[in-house]
Amino acid sequence: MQVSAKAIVPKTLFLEGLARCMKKTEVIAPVKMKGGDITFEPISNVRQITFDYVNDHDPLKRFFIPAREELFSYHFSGNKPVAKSPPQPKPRVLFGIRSCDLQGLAHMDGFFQGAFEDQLYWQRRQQTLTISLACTEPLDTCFCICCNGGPWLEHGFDLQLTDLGETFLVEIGSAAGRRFLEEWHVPCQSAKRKDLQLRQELMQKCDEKMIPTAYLAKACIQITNNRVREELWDEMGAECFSCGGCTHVCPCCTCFDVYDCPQEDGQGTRYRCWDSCQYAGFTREASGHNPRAKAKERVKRRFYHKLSYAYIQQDGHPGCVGCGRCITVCQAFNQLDVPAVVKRLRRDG
Amino acid sequence: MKIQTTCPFCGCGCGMLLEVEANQVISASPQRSHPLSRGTLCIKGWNGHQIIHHPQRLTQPLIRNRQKLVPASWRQAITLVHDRLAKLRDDHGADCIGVIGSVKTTTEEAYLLNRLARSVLGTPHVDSLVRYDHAPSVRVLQAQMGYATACAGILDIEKASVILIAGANPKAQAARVGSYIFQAAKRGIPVIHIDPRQQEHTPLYTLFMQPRPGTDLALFNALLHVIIARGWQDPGVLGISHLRDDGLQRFTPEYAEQVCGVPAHQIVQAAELMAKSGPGVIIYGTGVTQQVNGTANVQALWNLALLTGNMGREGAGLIPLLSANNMQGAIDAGLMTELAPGHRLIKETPTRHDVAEYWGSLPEKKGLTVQEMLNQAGKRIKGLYVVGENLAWAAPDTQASTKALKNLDFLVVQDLFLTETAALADVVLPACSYAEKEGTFTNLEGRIQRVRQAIRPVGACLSDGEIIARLAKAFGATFPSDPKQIFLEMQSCIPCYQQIKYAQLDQPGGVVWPAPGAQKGNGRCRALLGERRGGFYPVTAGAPFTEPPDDEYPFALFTGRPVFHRRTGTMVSRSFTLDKEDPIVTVEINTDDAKALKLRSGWPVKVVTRRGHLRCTLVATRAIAPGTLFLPIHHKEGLSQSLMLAALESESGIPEMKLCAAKLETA
Amino acid sequence: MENLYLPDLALIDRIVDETSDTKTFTLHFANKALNRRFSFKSGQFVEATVFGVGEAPFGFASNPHTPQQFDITVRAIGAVTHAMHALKEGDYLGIRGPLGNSFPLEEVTDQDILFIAGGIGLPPLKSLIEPMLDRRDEFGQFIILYGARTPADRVYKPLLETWSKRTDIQFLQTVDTPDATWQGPVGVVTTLMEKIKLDINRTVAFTCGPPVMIRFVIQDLLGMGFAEDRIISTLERYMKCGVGKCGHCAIGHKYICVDGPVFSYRQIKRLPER
Repeated sequence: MQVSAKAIVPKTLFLEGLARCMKKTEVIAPVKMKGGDITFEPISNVRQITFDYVNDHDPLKRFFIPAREELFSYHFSGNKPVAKSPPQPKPRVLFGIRSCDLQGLAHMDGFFQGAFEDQLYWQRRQQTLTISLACTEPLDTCFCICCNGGPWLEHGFDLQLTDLGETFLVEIGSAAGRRFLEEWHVPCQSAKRKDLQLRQELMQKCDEKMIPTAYLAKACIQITNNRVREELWDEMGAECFSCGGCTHVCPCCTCFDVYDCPQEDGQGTRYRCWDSCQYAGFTREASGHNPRAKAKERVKRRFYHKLSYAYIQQDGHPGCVGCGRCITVCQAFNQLDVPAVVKRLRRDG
Repeated sequence: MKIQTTCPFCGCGCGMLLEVEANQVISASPQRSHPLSRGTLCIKGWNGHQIIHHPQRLTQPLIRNRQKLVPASWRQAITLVHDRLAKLRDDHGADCIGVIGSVKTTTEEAYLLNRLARSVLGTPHVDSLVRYDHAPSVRVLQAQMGYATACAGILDIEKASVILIAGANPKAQAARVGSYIFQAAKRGIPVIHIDPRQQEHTPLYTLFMQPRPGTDLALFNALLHVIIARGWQDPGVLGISHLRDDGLQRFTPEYAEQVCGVPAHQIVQAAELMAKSGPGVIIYGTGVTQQVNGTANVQALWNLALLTGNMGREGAGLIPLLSANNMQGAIDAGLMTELAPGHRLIKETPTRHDVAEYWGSLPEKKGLTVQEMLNQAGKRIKGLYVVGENLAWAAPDTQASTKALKNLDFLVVQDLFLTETAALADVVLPACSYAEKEGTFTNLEGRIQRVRQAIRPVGACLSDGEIIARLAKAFGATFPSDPKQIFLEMQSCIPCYQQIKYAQLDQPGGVVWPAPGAQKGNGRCRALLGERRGGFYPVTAGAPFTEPPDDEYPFALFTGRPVFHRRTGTMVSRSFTLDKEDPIVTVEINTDDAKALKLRSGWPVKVVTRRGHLRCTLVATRAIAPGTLFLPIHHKEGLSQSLMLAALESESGIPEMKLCAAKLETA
Repeated sequence: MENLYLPDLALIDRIVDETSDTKTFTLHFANKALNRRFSFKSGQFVEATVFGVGEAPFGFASNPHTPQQFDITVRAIGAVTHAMHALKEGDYLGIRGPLGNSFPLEEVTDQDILFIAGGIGLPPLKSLIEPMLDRRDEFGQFIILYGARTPADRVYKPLLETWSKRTDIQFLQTVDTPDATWQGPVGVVTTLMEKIKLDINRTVAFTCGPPVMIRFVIQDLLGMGFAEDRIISTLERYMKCGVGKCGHCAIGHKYICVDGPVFSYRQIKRLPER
């Protein structure tokens, strides 16, 4: 069976295919917790999947760079340490990932390759098949259209689904995606023009519903050329709670710290854990000297990394995908998230 | 897998999800559906979970053998604790045993400990570290309302038209409260800040009044004076049962200016803002309570809330910023020597009657407070059982408290880590963290929320409740072991919990006692007071603070909370990320004083008091007034408590931990 | 693809006490094949692990041409460095490296060379000074200025002794606080600059030391008229991974661990946080 690049599959049949896959491969999908929070978890039954969600509050980067991850374990043989890499991850399917998170993943792909390839990231990445779900209904914090982060993507997925009611429009983005459809006997019909048109309409409606806007250009210019008034940074620094939430939930943030956890018997593990450039400890040196001792300098750093052309040129993309999580997570109510700061910078200069 | 639970790092009680992998907690993330935290956490919430798998976690019981603590089985440890306590009781009577409970364990565990102490061991000396932070709040609020609890909810801050913060640093201490205050300030709501030290958010507020340390009472009374003198009072829906302004006449703004150093016009402005803005929330912290006038200060703030009609309406009320995750739960469970479960005084016969139905018997009188137990260690108190508190470091005058603990015949400590207190113990019992057990925490506004088990216990650890139950069993008593069963029994002894159905606790944000929705409508205070009215009792005779500055010790040294340290740092300093945040102990001095002493920021100095000295790094700042010094509390690298006085306030037994005289030396 | 974060084992051949808080460790890799093929350049660094304590970066302190062996000089200031000081000869360390860029060497032949080092900043410069001195005739005037807090705080005292005896280089040292034995100059390292004569148009200056010192040195060099690309310095930040991933050492969009640690002042000047 040769599947065309854009296909139509009845939803139930797609999920049956997913269920067949689940017997052999771990499937991670959105489930609703008691109380209504969404979380992505390994599922044992496709009926666990919820479609009543826009996104998990926790970005899906945790499946690629977990909040805490083993770098290696060690033990001693006499006085000689023996260090061992963690075991290889198993293959898995990540179902229901949203465009913004996938765009974040593309951002991280770029970061973790190059002269020093991060094997731990790439092992997980290569073992994961991504089935994304294009958005038709944004949250009131979404602004992906400002950052090329959605509501649907042109590439970067293995499979991209768009909910057309009874059917999914299935777009194939990779050979692995095509193999999934074939291996698990997902019956695909070529998408018709009206299907594509319907999707176009849905996307346009979604687009129009987005409330926050982040007109990045001026902020990028001001930050790149260091033209933001120091007083404005002072003001924003004074407001920041330095909770680190914005960086923890950001699909583009990758910074980590490293620590050892020794056991009593001489064995131990070295971990990396998410760190935040918003923390004073992030840059403090052993001598006590801290080049970014003030919250103001740290807020400035975060936006330099997100929006300066130096980085955009290097990464090919701003460090923001418009997921809007930094709006919800910020303790300084609507003052220091990306759209808010972009607006403050724009109106100030 | 993610487990929904309640953050254990401060009194806010934010909702959080623990991510579990291979029986290890690898992250904490915010719960979007939580009515208070709404998808946010502070730096402690995000990173505090790292303590759970810290390599220094105790994993088995320890027993002192000669000078050393050596591993033992649970059976050995429990038997030893039983035998030694039983012998002490036989030799000297039950009241030679003291029990100090935790403001961090679940309410169920606090309740069981209370029951163990009073009904099984039979001692009246049971207390908790509520004493050190909020004994004056308990004293005043219990007397006024019958309940030692906040008169408003955190969400009332969103509805308030004016906010007054006194002697607290909400941003550092209870970030979510700080967050709502910040939001209000940004919306243009007037915020009045009374503190000897300016904080990061202070510039956002409408009015900053900087009284000399220890002079708050005069300032509060002047606010009352202005309101009464100008006829601005509005008793509101709650009403005032009697209004006596005896003695307030002399507290004119001009008089207060002399005493506190706060300009009279600011006092008038603050009084007007409070009286005329509409619903107002008053938030206060240990800056007000840990003083020789602690109880008087709280009473004065109560009076202010009452006089401005801020009792019994939405967006209004008095909130003591309880500093631990379950300080309210410990109060609810009666873990203070003057209280029985349910905020009732132990000395009242009907109360004892109610409780005795479940407990069998309990002592008729109150016993010693924490500080009194320490003072009596080795004298009246021979054996001490400490649960989850690093008493040696939490108490003022560290040298004296350490010495006191060493004077005991027998010390049992139950904790996650070998704290400075546990290191002195004869038996150390390893307890589970919040991620390893079930139960409830009650936050600073009385919100009862579930704590859920995310992982199996680390090592051989048992939950505090299980340890207490095993000890009770050794004494021949049977305690309920299932958290739900304990909660149901607790409800019978805690009347204000009775309207709650256990299943309701499962909803995001749990339930605010006395009933679901109690914080809505006319405010929590109304729900608690019923048809009763509030009492206005001016307190005009403030005691001067015990150790004023003099020629030898010319500075008024006061302390406050930094963001990164909770209690004595037992928990937070063992989170890798948090421990990096604030490794350097600093003492703040006014820039002009620093110039006069020819000292500069960054220089090593020694803060010296009559109790001891502390080496730290100097920070010259305009945030504090000339003549004062400021030290952060609970820094593991430098204990400000070691410098402070253990002098007790007579009303509530709180030590005057905030203030003493000090001098600076170059180190 | 290899695990970027997994260290190789290195054996401690020798430990030399340099000062009361500083030691030099001479190391070689336990794996023979690795040790044979291992090479580094002056200015590069390693990440050294004490298992169960942590990892920290150290610049190479030895001549890159010394076969199958390298030195790092370690001042005990944090947990890892204190743990390293507790190790003995024959103990193991975990090592990742070489990491980072290096000092320009071939590019500066025929030039006059000026080194300005402060305290623990001398070790990385020593790894450049030594190969340069091996080829002494390829360089013009050769000046080394060294400042330390006290005479006892100077590292490599025997080496300093040989330097001061050499006639083909000008070696000056100073201390902030002298002791009874000290007969040399007193003052910060920049005061030594008054004692030397330079042709600024043919001199390349290399400086390494505490951040405050570097700031003053650069200020003085610029004041003398040095071109921005004739001032070569190293930058220091809290650093974890050493491979441009953890994000700690980023200044602007440069990462000290991969784009540095060696920068010319021209490059430093362009960084947004300077």
